[in-house]
Amino acid sequence: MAMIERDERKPYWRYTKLQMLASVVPFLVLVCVLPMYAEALNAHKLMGFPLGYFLAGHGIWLIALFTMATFVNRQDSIDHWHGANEDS
Amino acid sequence: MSTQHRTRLVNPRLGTYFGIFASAFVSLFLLLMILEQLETPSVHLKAAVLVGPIVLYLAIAAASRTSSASDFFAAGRRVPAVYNGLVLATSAIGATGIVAFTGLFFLDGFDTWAFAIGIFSGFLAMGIAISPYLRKYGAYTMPSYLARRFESRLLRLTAASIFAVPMALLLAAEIAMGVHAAALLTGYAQQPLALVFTAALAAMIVFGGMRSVGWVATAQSIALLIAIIVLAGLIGVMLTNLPLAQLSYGPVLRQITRIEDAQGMVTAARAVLEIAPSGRELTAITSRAASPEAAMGSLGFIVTTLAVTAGIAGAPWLLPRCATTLGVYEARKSLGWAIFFAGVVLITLSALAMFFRSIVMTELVGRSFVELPLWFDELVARGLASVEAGSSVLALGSFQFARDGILFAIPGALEFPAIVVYLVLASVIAAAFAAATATAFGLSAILAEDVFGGLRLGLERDAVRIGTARVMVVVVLAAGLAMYSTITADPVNLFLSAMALSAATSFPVITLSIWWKRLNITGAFVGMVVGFAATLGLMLVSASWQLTLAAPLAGIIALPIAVFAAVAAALATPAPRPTAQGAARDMRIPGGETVYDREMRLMRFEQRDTN
Repeated sequence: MAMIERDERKPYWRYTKLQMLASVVPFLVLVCVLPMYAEALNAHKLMGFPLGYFLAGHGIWLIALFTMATFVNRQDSIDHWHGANEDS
Repeated sequence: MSTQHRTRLVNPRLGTYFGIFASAFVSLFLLLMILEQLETPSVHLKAAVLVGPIVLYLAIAAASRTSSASDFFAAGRRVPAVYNGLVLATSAIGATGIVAFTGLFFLDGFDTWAFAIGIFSGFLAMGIAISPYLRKYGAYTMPSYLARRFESRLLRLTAASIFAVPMALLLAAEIAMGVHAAALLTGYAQQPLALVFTAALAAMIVFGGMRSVGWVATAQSIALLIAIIVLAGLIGVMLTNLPLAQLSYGPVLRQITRIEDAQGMVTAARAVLEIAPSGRELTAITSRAASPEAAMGSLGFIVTTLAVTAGIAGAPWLLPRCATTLGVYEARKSLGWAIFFAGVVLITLSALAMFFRSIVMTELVGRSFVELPLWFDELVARGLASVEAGSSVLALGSFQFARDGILFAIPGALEFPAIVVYLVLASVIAAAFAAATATAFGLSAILAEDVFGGLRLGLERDAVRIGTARVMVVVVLAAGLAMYSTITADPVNLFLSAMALSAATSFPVITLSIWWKRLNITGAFVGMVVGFAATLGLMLVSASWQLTLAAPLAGIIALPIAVFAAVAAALATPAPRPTAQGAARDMRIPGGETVYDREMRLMRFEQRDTN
């Protein structure tokens, strides 16, 4: 049975907070900034799409998927490193 | 503590069962297509399209019946991540999203991505900052979580009253959209259809609660995916020679842009904070498809995105699904799947809308009134489109379309067999069922667990808890039916109002309760009440003073006010009791027993000792 040591609780939570901020904040900044430049980016094209339109739809979706997948793996590593993981 | 291997808890035949459902659903429509070619009366085909899938859903609901509280309220905590993600995506988008967003992509173009981005970001925020911790806590409802986390019955009743408002709004919106689709399919009056719709909803929920809602919604999500992906694939092959329309509609969009250039179309600049997506009335296309500011100003786009983000992340009707996964790791993964499925659905809808816009621009614009195709005349006859017969050559601005009719007009414009239109209508009804069951069950569980049973923190027998919840399902659906009959607001406005209320009430308090251990009962109470009052106040001021202050803006203004009020009230009052801080510490560690299950187990021991 995995059981976190008392001394490990604080470092575990510190790394967890940093991981949360590192995952959410850049994504939210991107979500707020990218649509502002969509019209300018539409002058270029990608896979036949106007670039601004493509990035706002498909692009942000792919980045969200990548961010989530990275977070799940990174957070799972943090859980195992500090002995906070679930029994499997 | 359970020592059973987690993967052993999952039913290994789930894939087989849903494979059988998908085959049955596809077979039904292939059979109906054959019968259509054999000139079977359309009234029989329509009845089969309406009744056939509902019989399949009810069979799944009956097979998921249960008498255990853990199964009824949390699906036995053994739902694999992929199924949970699929249901979360469909429940968040709902029929309102499927129907209205397709129309909005068609009429407003680029700006509709604000809703889609909000849903993606909302799932991301939920998966990273909220759902793993709520899964570790394991409460069946959000008011129940807050009551146990802060040890307060008053907080439980307050949260139940406040969280019920956005859920009721969404339930009314989903019933309205489901009945709209059923009326388009059958041609019957909406009131009797609403009665049938809510009766079917009740039957889908009462057998197995969250368990039957989850598995029925999985089947409904599969039906939805089959319908829109098949439709997009067929149109993609016809217009771009590629079946993967989601990735191949770029050249179609550029063709639209070229025609817009030729017509000298310019998107008029919006006020910076304006948020005005097209409504239900017949609307002309006045803006460019790929350019921003058709429906929202630049800041309005960001405000809408953030309001939907916070609304989805804190949604009290979606968060209880986090407690149904196998564990914390699966809860995180399930939100990844939710982003995946939401993206597949929304990008497919955008592709369908752009294909239809291309058809409108090439087959309608530039023709004379007498040259208009038959499919357009049918749309006009059904009240889903109109044309101003002023000049000899019709410009794009001469045509008007109903936002909520676009999705159903697409198969007709390509002269597909009528059964394809019925398939799309069946998928919208399925999406309405999936979203309505999520909100109706969430509301029923809140009424049963937090309002009816909330006056004591003690433990009732499973049979009493489930029986109360079943009665509450009927009460909630009767109220939903009454709301549907009295509220005539646009379902998109109801969706946005629900998002704003969730963003300013549930999201700040639940997030702070996880990430700020110092939050106490007073802080949580004040945060929720101030957030609710501020959002509602801003909405009412907007309505009475004609400020055109859209719901998302009200939610985004109220959110920081709620956070500030919660923090200030918590700091001005004593720190929470050590037991409350201990609960906060426990839910932060993925390992170990689910907090709620442990509390229930200890309560049962105490009751046994007392007796």
